[in-house]
Amino acid sequence: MKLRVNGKTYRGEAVDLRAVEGVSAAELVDAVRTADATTVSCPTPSAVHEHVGVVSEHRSISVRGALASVARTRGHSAPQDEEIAWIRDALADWEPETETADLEHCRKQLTTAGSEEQGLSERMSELRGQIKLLRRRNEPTDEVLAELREVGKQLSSASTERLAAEQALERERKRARERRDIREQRLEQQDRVANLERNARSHLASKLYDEFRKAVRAVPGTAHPGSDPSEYDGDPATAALAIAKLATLSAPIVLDCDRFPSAEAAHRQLRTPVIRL
Amino acid sequence: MLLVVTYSKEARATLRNVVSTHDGVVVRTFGRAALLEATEFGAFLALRLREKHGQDVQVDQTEPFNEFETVPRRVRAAASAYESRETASTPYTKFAAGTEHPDPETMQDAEL
Repeated sequence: MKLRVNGKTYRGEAVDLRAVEGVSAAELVDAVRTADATTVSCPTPSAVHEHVGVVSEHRSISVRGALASVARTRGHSAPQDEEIAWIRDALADWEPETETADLEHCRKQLTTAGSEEQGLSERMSELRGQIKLLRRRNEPTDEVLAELREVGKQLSSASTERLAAEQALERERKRARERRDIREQRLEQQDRVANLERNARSHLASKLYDEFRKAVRAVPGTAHPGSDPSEYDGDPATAALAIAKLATLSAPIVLDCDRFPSAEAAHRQLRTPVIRL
Repeated sequence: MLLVVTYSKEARATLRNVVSTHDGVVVRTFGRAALLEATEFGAFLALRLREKHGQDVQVDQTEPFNEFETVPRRVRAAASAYESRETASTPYTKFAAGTEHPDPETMQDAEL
């Protein structure tokens, strides 16, 4: 690999940047992953690099996930793979609906129509009250009657509109329910895939667990791997180093920890290109 | 109460966050659905969810159910009578046949 930091160029498979200031693990691993040639020139990192690209005392790691990743790069498969692919295909074919219904619009229409109708209905009551009063006083009611007739027509029209809005909303709600049925099925399939992938990772990780146990013993740090990733009892950095050791990594990892006396020692033990920070 | 139901992983995850952050307004949670208090704040949270996830969020409103107000006596009587039937394996249709108890088809077509 070739590294360019603070105007200086470093070459080789074991680079020590401990004495260099102003460079962070995050920047470095980012440069490795995004093939930022102005900083790092190296082979493309594999999927395993996502898990162990930076090793530090604080960085957590999914032992199961990382081991499954190594298994995949070695060409291992899991019994769930076929079903996963099948469901993923089906999900990819899923056509996003062209959302034609706008329930919000329908609800708004109904509320507006309802208010309109109610306002007119109240006006009718007012006018009827006025007419009663005028008649009791023996005063002419022609004008008010005319207005009553007019408002009556408007009310009739508003009622029709409100009814139409109700029916439109009801139709849209039915359609929305059908669309939700489909979305629910999609969600169920997505959950199924996630479950299958989890099971596949377990299967793959257990294939490499013996090798992982051996690697844990061979790297600096103490841990009790147990017989299963869920039984791993130890710090994450030890696990990461063990995985880096058993994986074949051609892109450099960033060692932001004090476990090795030198970058060279780390490179020799892990058989991985190393940038020591 | 306000019933919020989600229909995608993302919407479900947001609902879970909302539920754990605002447990004061959550009456009940069912994973991808939840019942919220019918307060302005409950509505605010429900509407925010809908703004964020569109059609993947359904919001409806529940009412307290008073069967004495809402449900005809014959239906209540049928439910009660059926649950105290002698033979456990008798399906309701058979149980109701030839009695005054309403049949399922008629009940399905009758809105409350």
